[in-house]
Amino acid sequence: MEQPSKEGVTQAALSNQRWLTVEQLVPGMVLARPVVVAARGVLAMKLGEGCELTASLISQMYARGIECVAIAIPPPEEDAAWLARCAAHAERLKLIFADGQSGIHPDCQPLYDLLLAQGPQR
Amino acid sequence: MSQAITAAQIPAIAERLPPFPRVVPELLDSLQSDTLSVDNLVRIARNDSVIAAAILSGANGLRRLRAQPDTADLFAAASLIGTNKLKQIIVKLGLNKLLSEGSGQAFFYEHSLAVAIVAQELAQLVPGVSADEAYIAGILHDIGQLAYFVVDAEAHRQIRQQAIGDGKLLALEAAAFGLDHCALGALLGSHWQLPPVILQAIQRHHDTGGEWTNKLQAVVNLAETLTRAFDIPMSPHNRVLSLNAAALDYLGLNWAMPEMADLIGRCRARFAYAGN
Repeated sequence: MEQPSKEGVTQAALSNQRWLTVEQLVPGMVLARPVVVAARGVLAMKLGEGCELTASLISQMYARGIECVAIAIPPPEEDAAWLARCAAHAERLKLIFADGQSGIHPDCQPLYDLLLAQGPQR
Repeated sequence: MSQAITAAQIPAIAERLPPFPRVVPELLDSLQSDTLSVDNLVRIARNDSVIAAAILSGANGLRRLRAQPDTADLFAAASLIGTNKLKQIIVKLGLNKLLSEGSGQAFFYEHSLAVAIVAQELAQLVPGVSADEAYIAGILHDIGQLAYFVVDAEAHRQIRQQAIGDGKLLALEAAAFGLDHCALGALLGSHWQLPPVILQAIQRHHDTGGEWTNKLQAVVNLAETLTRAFDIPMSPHNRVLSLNAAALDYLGLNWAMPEMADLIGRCRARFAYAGN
Protein backbone atom coordinates (compact mmCIF):
# COMPACT_ATOMS: atom_id res chain seq x y z
CA MET A 1 0.00 0.00 0.00
CA GLU A 2 1.32 3.40 -0.96
CA GLN A 3 2.07 5.69 1.96
CA PRO A 4 0.39 9.11 2.03
CA SER A 5 2.59 12.12 1.50
CA LYS A 6 4.16 13.55 4.62
CA GLU A 7 2.33 16.76 3.85
CA GLY A 8 -1.00 14.96 3.83
CA VAL A 9 -0.35 13.33 7.20
CA THR A 10 0.85 16.58 8.76
CA GLN A 11 -2.16 18.56 7.57
CA ALA A 12 -4.52 15.87 8.77
CA ALA A 13 -2.87 15.90 12.18
CA LEU A 14 -3.55 19.62 12.42
CA SER A 15 -7.25 18.93 12.51
CA ASN A 16 -8.01 18.87 16.21
CA GLN A 17 -11.72 18.99 15.75
CA ARG A 18 -14.59 16.66 15.06
CA TRP A 19 -17.90 17.63 13.48
CA LEU A 20 -20.89 16.34 15.42
CA THR A 21 -24.61 16.73 14.85
CA VAL A 22 -26.51 18.62 17.56
CA GLU A 23 -28.13 15.36 18.65
CA GLN A 24 -24.68 14.01 19.57
CA LEU A 25 -23.65 16.97 21.71
CA VAL A 26 -23.38 16.61 25.47
CA PRO A 27 -22.77 19.29 28.09
CA GLY A 28 -19.09 19.88 28.73
CA MET A 29 -17.98 19.63 25.10
CA VAL A 30 -15.97 22.60 23.84
CA LEU A 31 -16.53 24.36 20.52
CA ALA A 32 -13.58 24.25 18.12
CA ARG A 33 -15.21 26.77 15.79
CA PRO A 34 -17.55 29.71 16.42
CA VAL A 35 -21.28 29.23 15.95
CA VAL A 36 -23.15 32.19 14.49
CA VAL A 37 -26.85 32.18 13.66
CA ALA A 38 -28.58 35.09 11.97
CA ALA A 39 -32.30 35.15 11.27
CA ARG A 40 -33.65 37.72 8.80
CA GLY A 41 -30.49 39.75 9.11
CA VAL A 42 -30.58 39.83 12.91
CA LEU A 43 -27.94 38.08 14.98
CA ALA A 44 -29.80 35.37 16.91
CA MET A 45 -26.95 33.43 18.47
CA LYS A 46 -23.19 33.77 18.68
CA LEU A 47 -20.88 31.38 20.50
CA GLY A 48 -17.13 31.69 20.29
CA GLU A 49 -14.42 29.11 19.82
CA GLY A 50 -13.61 27.55 23.21
CA CYS A 51 -17.16 27.95 24.52
CA GLU A 52 -18.16 25.07 26.80
CA LEU A 53 -21.58 23.67 25.94
CA THR A 54 -24.39 23.44 28.47
CA ALA A 55 -27.74 21.65 28.17
CA SER A 56 -29.43 25.00 27.63
CA LEU A 57 -27.05 26.01 24.82
CA ILE A 58 -27.52 22.65 23.11
CA SER A 59 -31.32 23.05 23.23
CA GLN A 60 -31.05 26.54 21.78
CA MET A 61 -28.82 25.34 18.96
CA TYR A 62 -31.29 22.54 18.19
CA ALA A 63 -34.27 24.89 18.13
CA ARG A 64 -32.44 27.39 15.92
CA GLY A 65 -31.88 24.75 13.27
CA ILE A 66 -28.13 24.29 13.68
CA GLU A 67 -27.25 20.95 12.15
CA CYS A 68 -23.76 20.32 13.42
CA VAL A 69 -20.83 22.01 15.11
CA ALA A 70 -17.08 21.44 15.35
CA ILE A 71 -15.99 20.14 18.75
CA ALA A 72 -12.42 20.37 20.02
CA ILE A 73 -10.64 17.04 20.42
CA PRO A 74 -7.05 16.14 21.28
CA PRO A 75 -4.68 15.82 18.31
CA PRO A 76 -4.24 12.30 16.98
CA GLU A 77 -1.30 10.33 18.27
CA GLU A 78 0.95 9.91 15.29
CA ASP A 79 1.42 6.23 15.98
CA ALA A 80 1.42 3.32 13.58
CA ALA A 81 -2.36 2.92 13.80
CA TRP A 82 -2.97 6.55 12.82
CA LEU A 83 -0.47 6.42 9.98
CA ALA A 84 -2.12 3.24 8.72
CA ARG A 85 -5.50 4.99 8.74
CA CYS A 86 -4.03 7.90 6.79
CA ALA A 87 -2.55 5.49 4.27
CA ALA A 88 -5.86 3.63 3.89
CA HIS A 89 -7.63 6.96 3.42
CA ALA A 90 -5.20 7.99 0.68
CA GLU A 91 -5.57 4.61 -1.00
CA ARG A 92 -9.35 4.84 -0.95
CA LEU A 93 -9.27 8.35 -2.45
CA LYS A 94 -7.06 7.14 -5.25
CA LEU A 95 -9.52 4.36 -6.00
CA ILE A 96 -12.42 6.84 -6.12
CA PHE A 97 -10.70 9.52 -8.19
CA ALA A 98 -8.13 7.88 -10.40
CA ASP A 99 -8.91 6.70 -13.88
CA GLY A 100 -6.72 3.68 -14.60
CA GLN A 101 -5.29 5.27 -17.73
CA SER A 102 -5.15 9.03 -17.30
CA GLY A 103 -4.96 9.58 -13.54
CA ILE A 104 -7.08 12.19 -11.81
CA HIS A 105 -9.13 14.56 -13.97
CA PRO A 106 -7.83 18.17 -13.65
CA ASP A 107 -11.29 19.44 -12.62
CA CYS A 108 -11.31 16.91 -9.75
CA GLN A 109 -7.74 17.53 -8.57
CA PRO A 110 -8.50 20.41 -6.11
CA LEU A 111 -11.24 18.35 -4.45
CA TYR A 112 -8.95 15.32 -4.26
CA ASP A 113 -6.19 17.45 -2.70
CA LEU A 114 -8.61 18.88 -0.14
CA LEU A 115 -9.91 15.45 0.88
CA LEU A 116 -6.38 14.09 1.13
CA ALA A 117 -5.30 17.02 3.30
CA GLN A 118 -8.28 16.56 5.62
CA GLY A 119 -7.22 13.01 6.37
CA PRO A 120 -9.43 10.23 7.69
CA GLN A 121 -12.55 11.05 9.65
CA ARG A 122 -11.85 11.50 13.34
CA MET B 1 -32.23 -4.76 -24.71
CA SER B 2 -34.53 -5.17 -21.74
CA GLN B 3 -38.15 -4.02 -21.92
CA ALA B 4 -38.18 -0.44 -23.27
CA ILE B 5 -39.94 2.01 -20.99
CA THR B 6 -42.09 4.75 -22.50
CA ALA B 7 -43.78 7.79 -20.96
CA ALA B 8 -47.15 6.08 -21.46
CA GLN B 9 -46.11 3.32 -19.06
CA ILE B 10 -45.28 5.66 -16.18
CA PRO B 11 -48.73 5.53 -14.49
CA ALA B 12 -48.66 1.71 -14.54
CA ILE B 13 -45.12 1.66 -13.12
CA ALA B 14 -46.06 4.15 -10.39
CA GLU B 15 -48.98 1.88 -9.47
CA ARG B 16 -46.53 -0.92 -8.68
CA LEU B 17 -44.41 1.27 -6.39
CA PRO B 18 -45.25 2.10 -2.78
CA PRO B 19 -47.51 5.18 -2.77
CA PHE B 20 -45.82 8.56 -3.01
CA PRO B 21 -46.07 10.00 0.52
CA ARG B 22 -48.71 12.72 0.77
CA VAL B 23 -46.70 14.61 3.35
CA VAL B 24 -44.03 15.64 0.82
CA PRO B 25 -46.27 17.57 -1.64
CA GLU B 26 -48.00 19.11 1.38
CA LEU B 27 -44.66 20.29 2.68
CA LEU B 28 -43.62 21.59 -0.76
CA ASP B 29 -46.89 23.52 -1.00
CA SER B 30 -46.20 25.10 2.38
CA LEU B 31 -42.69 26.07 1.29
CA GLN B 32 -44.00 27.63 -1.94
CA SER B 33 -46.78 29.58 -0.29
CA ASP B 34 -44.58 30.74 2.57
CA THR B 35 -47.13 29.48 5.10
CA LEU B 36 -44.67 27.31 6.95
CA SER B 37 -45.10 27.27 10.71
CA VAL B 38 -44.75 24.75 13.49
CA ASP B 39 -48.54 24.55 13.51
CA ASN B 40 -48.65 23.66 9.79
CA LEU B 41 -45.90 21.11 10.13
CA VAL B 42 -47.57 19.44 13.10
CA ARG B 43 -50.77 19.20 11.06
CA ILE B 44 -48.81 17.44 8.31
CA ALA B 45 -46.93 15.18 10.73
CA ARG B 46 -49.96 14.21 12.80
CA ASN B 47 -51.26 11.95 10.02
CA ASP B 48 -48.18 9.74 10.12
CA SER B 49 -47.46 7.80 13.30
CA VAL B 50 -43.81 7.11 12.40
CA ILE B 51 -43.12 10.80 11.81
CA ALA B 52 -44.97 11.81 14.98
CA ALA B 53 -42.95 9.28 16.99
CA ALA B 54 -39.67 10.62 15.58
CA ILE B 55 -40.62 14.17 16.55
CA LEU B 56 -41.46 13.10 20.10
CA SER B 57 -38.22 11.13 20.30
CA GLY B 58 -36.11 14.10 19.19
CA ALA B 59 -37.80 16.46 21.60
CA ASN B 60 -37.63 14.08 24.54
CA GLY B 61 -33.91 13.63 23.96
CA LEU B 62 -33.54 17.36 24.50
CA ARG B 63 -35.84 17.38 27.52
CA ARG B 64 -33.80 14.63 29.18
CA LEU B 65 -30.66 16.72 28.67
CA ARG B 66 -32.33 19.31 30.88
CA ALA B 67 -33.63 16.71 33.35
CA GLN B 68 -37.22 17.35 32.29
CA PRO B 69 -39.87 14.60 32.01
CA ASP B 70 -40.83 13.26 28.58
CA THR B 71 -43.72 14.85 26.74
CA ALA B 72 -46.39 13.19 24.59
CA ASP B 73 -47.67 16.53 23.30
CA LEU B 74 -46.77 16.68 19.60
CA PHE B 75 -47.08 20.45 19.35
CA ALA B 76 -44.88 21.03 22.40
CA ALA B 77 -42.34 18.55 21.02
CA ALA B 78 -42.38 20.17 17.58
CA SER B 79 -41.92 23.63 19.08
CA LEU B 80 -38.91 22.41 21.00
CA ILE B 81 -37.04 20.94 18.04
CA GLY B 82 -37.86 23.77 15.62
CA THR B 83 -39.10 23.94 12.03
CA ASN B 84 -35.79 23.02 10.41
CA LYS B 85 -35.57 19.64 12.11
CA LEU B 86 -39.31 19.07 11.66
CA LYS B 87 -39.06 19.49 7.90
CA GLN B 88 -36.20 17.04 7.69
CA ILE B 89 -37.97 14.40 9.75
CA ILE B 90 -41.10 14.72 7.59
CA VAL B 91 -39.20 14.40 4.30
CA LYS B 92 -36.73 11.73 5.42
CA LEU B 93 -39.28 9.42 7.03
CA GLY B 94 -42.01 10.27 4.53
CA LEU B 95 -39.84 9.06 1.65
CA ASN B 96 -38.13 6.19 3.44
CA LYS B 97 -40.87 3.69 2.54
CA LEU B 98 -41.00 4.71 -1.13
CA LEU B 99 -37.23 4.66 -1.61
CA SER B 100 -36.39 1.63 0.53
CA GLU B 101 -39.29 -0.65 -0.39
CA GLY B 102 -39.48 0.64 -3.98
CA SER B 103 -35.87 -0.31 -4.60
CA GLY B 104 -35.44 -3.14 -2.11
CA GLN B 105 -31.91 -1.89 -1.56
CA ALA B 106 -30.46 -0.14 1.46
CA PHE B 107 -27.82 1.57 -0.70
CA PHE B 108 -30.44 3.31 -2.82
CA TYR B 109 -32.04 5.02 0.17
CA GLU B 110 -28.70 5.80 1.81
CA HIS B 111 -27.31 7.37 -1.37
CA SER B 112 -30.49 9.43 -1.79
CA LEU B 113 -30.22 10.62 1.80
CA ALA B 114 -26.53 11.49 1.35
CA VAL B 115 -27.28 13.59 -1.74
CA ALA B 116 -30.07 15.34 0.19
CA ILE B 117 -27.69 16.24 3.01
CA VAL B 118 -24.91 17.46 0.71
CA ALA B 119 -27.38 19.43 -1.44
CA GLN B 120 -28.78 21.12 1.66
CA GLU B 121 -25.32 21.99 2.96
CA LEU B 122 -24.29 23.39 -0.45
CA ALA B 123 -27.52 25.41 -0.67
CA GLN B 124 -26.64 27.10 2.60
CA LEU B 125 -23.50 28.50 0.94
CA VAL B 126 -25.34 29.82 -2.12
CA PRO B 127 -27.63 32.86 -1.90
CA GLY B 128 -30.97 32.36 -3.59
CA VAL B 129 -31.29 28.61 -3.13
CA SER B 130 -33.82 27.17 -0.71
CA ALA B 131 -32.04 24.69 1.56
CA ASP B 132 -35.36 22.88 2.05
CA GLU B 133 -35.97 22.47 -1.67
CA ALA B 134 -32.38 21.33 -2.09
CA TYR B 135 -32.92 18.62 0.55
CA ILE B 136 -36.13 17.42 -1.11
CA ALA B 137 -34.67 17.53 -4.64
CA GLY B 138 -31.62 15.69 -3.35
CA ILE B 139 -33.53 12.86 -1.73
CA LEU B 140 -35.69 12.47 -4.86
CA HIS B 141 -32.91 12.81 -7.44
CA ASP B 142 -32.66 9.09 -8.28
CA ILE B 143 -36.36 8.18 -8.25
CA GLY B 144 -36.08 7.30 -11.93
CA GLN B 145 -34.16 4.19 -10.91
CA LEU B 146 -37.27 2.94 -9.11
CA ALA B 147 -38.84 2.27 -12.53
CA TYR B 148 -36.05 -0.17 -13.38
CA PHE B 149 -36.60 -2.09 -10.16
CA VAL B 150 -40.23 -2.58 -11.22
CA VAL B 151 -39.51 -3.47 -14.85
CA ASP B 152 -36.31 -5.54 -14.63
CA ALA B 153 -34.29 -5.24 -11.44
CA GLU B 154 -31.72 -7.84 -12.46
CA ALA B 155 -30.93 -6.13 -15.77
CA HIS B 156 -30.39 -2.86 -13.93
CA ARG B 157 -28.18 -4.51 -11.32
CA GLN B 158 -25.95 -5.78 -14.12
CA ILE B 159 -25.85 -2.34 -15.72
CA ARG B 160 -24.79 -0.74 -12.45
CA GLN B 161 -22.10 -3.36 -12.04
CA GLN B 162 -20.78 -2.70 -15.53
CA ALA B 163 -20.88 1.07 -14.95
CA ILE B 164 -18.46 0.73 -12.01
CA GLY B 165 -15.81 -0.09 -14.58
CA ASP B 166 -16.64 2.25 -17.44
CA GLY B 167 -18.63 5.02 -15.73
CA LYS B 168 -21.22 5.02 -18.54
CA LEU B 169 -24.32 4.43 -16.44
CA LEU B 170 -26.70 6.69 -18.37
CA ALA B 171 -25.70 5.36 -21.80
CA LEU B 172 -26.07 1.77 -20.59
CA GLU B 173 -29.50 2.51 -19.08
CA ALA B 174 -30.71 4.22 -22.25
CA ALA B 175 -29.48 1.33 -24.37
CA ALA B 176 -31.20 -1.24 -22.17
CA PHE B 177 -34.43 0.53 -21.25
CA GLY B 178 -34.85 3.32 -23.81
CA LEU B 179 -34.62 6.03 -21.13
CA ASP B 180 -31.92 6.81 -18.58
CA HIS B 181 -32.86 7.29 -14.92
CA CYS B 182 -32.66 11.11 -15.13
CA ALA B 183 -35.34 11.24 -17.83
CA LEU B 184 -37.38 8.57 -16.07
CA GLY B 185 -37.14 10.44 -12.78
CA ALA B 186 -38.54 13.57 -14.35
CA LEU B 187 -41.43 11.56 -15.83
CA LEU B 188 -42.21 9.83 -12.53
CA GLY B 189 -41.91 13.12 -10.67
CA SER B 190 -44.26 14.75 -13.14
CA HIS B 191 -46.73 11.91 -12.60
CA TRP B 192 -46.54 12.64 -8.87
CA GLN B 193 -47.04 16.35 -9.65
CA LEU B 194 -43.75 17.54 -8.18
CA PRO B 195 -42.88 21.20 -8.89
CA PRO B 196 -40.98 21.96 -12.14
CA VAL B 197 -37.91 23.19 -10.24
CA ILE B 198 -37.53 19.75 -8.59
CA LEU B 199 -38.14 17.94 -11.90
CA GLN B 200 -35.40 19.97 -13.61
CA ALA B 201 -32.95 19.16 -10.82
CA ILE B 202 -33.76 15.43 -11.15
CA GLN B 203 -33.40 15.62 -14.93
CA ARG B 204 -29.98 17.29 -14.82
CA HIS B 205 -28.24 15.66 -11.87
CA HIS B 206 -25.73 13.84 -14.08
CA ASP B 207 -25.19 16.61 -16.66
CA THR B 208 -21.56 17.23 -17.47
CA GLY B 209 -22.14 20.42 -19.47
CA GLY B 210 -24.82 22.79 -20.73
CA GLU B 211 -26.28 26.01 -19.40
CA TRP B 212 -27.89 26.07 -15.97
CA THR B 213 -31.30 27.68 -15.75
CA ASN B 214 -31.46 27.75 -11.97
CA LYS B 215 -29.11 27.19 -9.06
CA LEU B 216 -30.98 24.21 -7.63
CA GLN B 217 -30.04 22.16 -10.71
CA ALA B 218 -26.36 22.92 -10.20
CA VAL B 219 -26.58 22.22 -6.45
CA VAL B 220 -28.05 18.74 -6.94
CA ASN B 221 -25.64 18.01 -9.78
CA LEU B 222 -22.68 18.89 -7.60
CA ALA B 223 -24.13 17.05 -4.60
CA GLU B 224 -24.35 13.85 -6.63
CA THR B 225 -20.61 14.04 -7.36
CA LEU B 226 -19.63 15.10 -3.84
CA THR B 227 -21.40 12.22 -2.08
CA ARG B 228 -19.24 9.87 -4.13
CA ALA B 229 -16.11 11.90 -3.44
CA PHE B 230 -16.90 11.90 0.31
CA ASP B 231 -17.57 8.15 0.09
CA ILE B 232 -20.99 8.41 1.73
CA PRO B 233 -22.32 5.78 1.80
CA MET B 234 -19.18 3.74 1.18
CA SER B 235 -19.62 1.75 -2.03
CA PRO B 236 -17.70 0.42 -5.03
CA HIS B 237 -20.04 2.66 -7.10
CA ASN B 238 -18.26 5.71 -5.68
CA ARG B 239 -16.10 6.89 -8.57
CA VAL B 240 -15.34 10.52 -9.39
CA LEU B 241 -13.83 10.58 -12.85
CA SER B 242 -15.18 14.02 -13.75
CA LEU B 243 -16.74 16.99 -12.00
CA ASN B 244 -19.00 19.64 -13.45
CA ALA B 245 -16.70 22.63 -12.90
CA ALA B 246 -19.28 24.90 -14.55
CA ALA B 247 -21.74 24.03 -11.76
CA LEU B 248 -19.18 25.08 -9.16
CA ASP B 249 -18.55 28.37 -11.00
CA TYR B 250 -22.25 29.00 -11.52
CA LEU B 251 -22.82 28.69 -7.77
CA GLY B 252 -19.90 31.00 -6.99
CA LEU B 253 -18.00 28.30 -5.09
CA ASN B 254 -14.40 27.16 -5.19
CA TRP B 255 -12.31 24.65 -3.27
CA ALA B 256 -10.13 27.31 -1.65
CA MET B 257 -13.08 28.61 0.38
CA PRO B 258 -12.80 27.54 4.05
CA GLU B 259 -16.53 26.78 3.95
CA MET B 260 -15.85 23.99 1.46
CA ALA B 261 -13.45 22.26 3.86
CA ASP B 262 -16.09 22.53 6.59
CA LEU B 263 -18.71 21.18 4.20
CA ILE B 264 -16.87 17.86 4.04
CA GLY B 265 -16.83 17.43 7.82
CA ARG B 266 -20.42 18.58 8.20
CA CYS B 267 -21.76 16.26 5.51
CA ARG B 268 -19.88 13.25 6.86
CA ALA B 269 -21.08 13.92 10.40
CA ARG B 270 -24.68 14.40 9.37
CA PHE B 271 -24.71 11.32 7.19
CA ALA B 272 -23.08 9.16 9.86
CA TYR B 273 -25.72 10.26 12.36
CA ALA B 274 -28.66 9.97 9.94
CA GLY B 275 -27.59 6.50 8.89
CA ASN B 276 -27.75 5.15 12.43
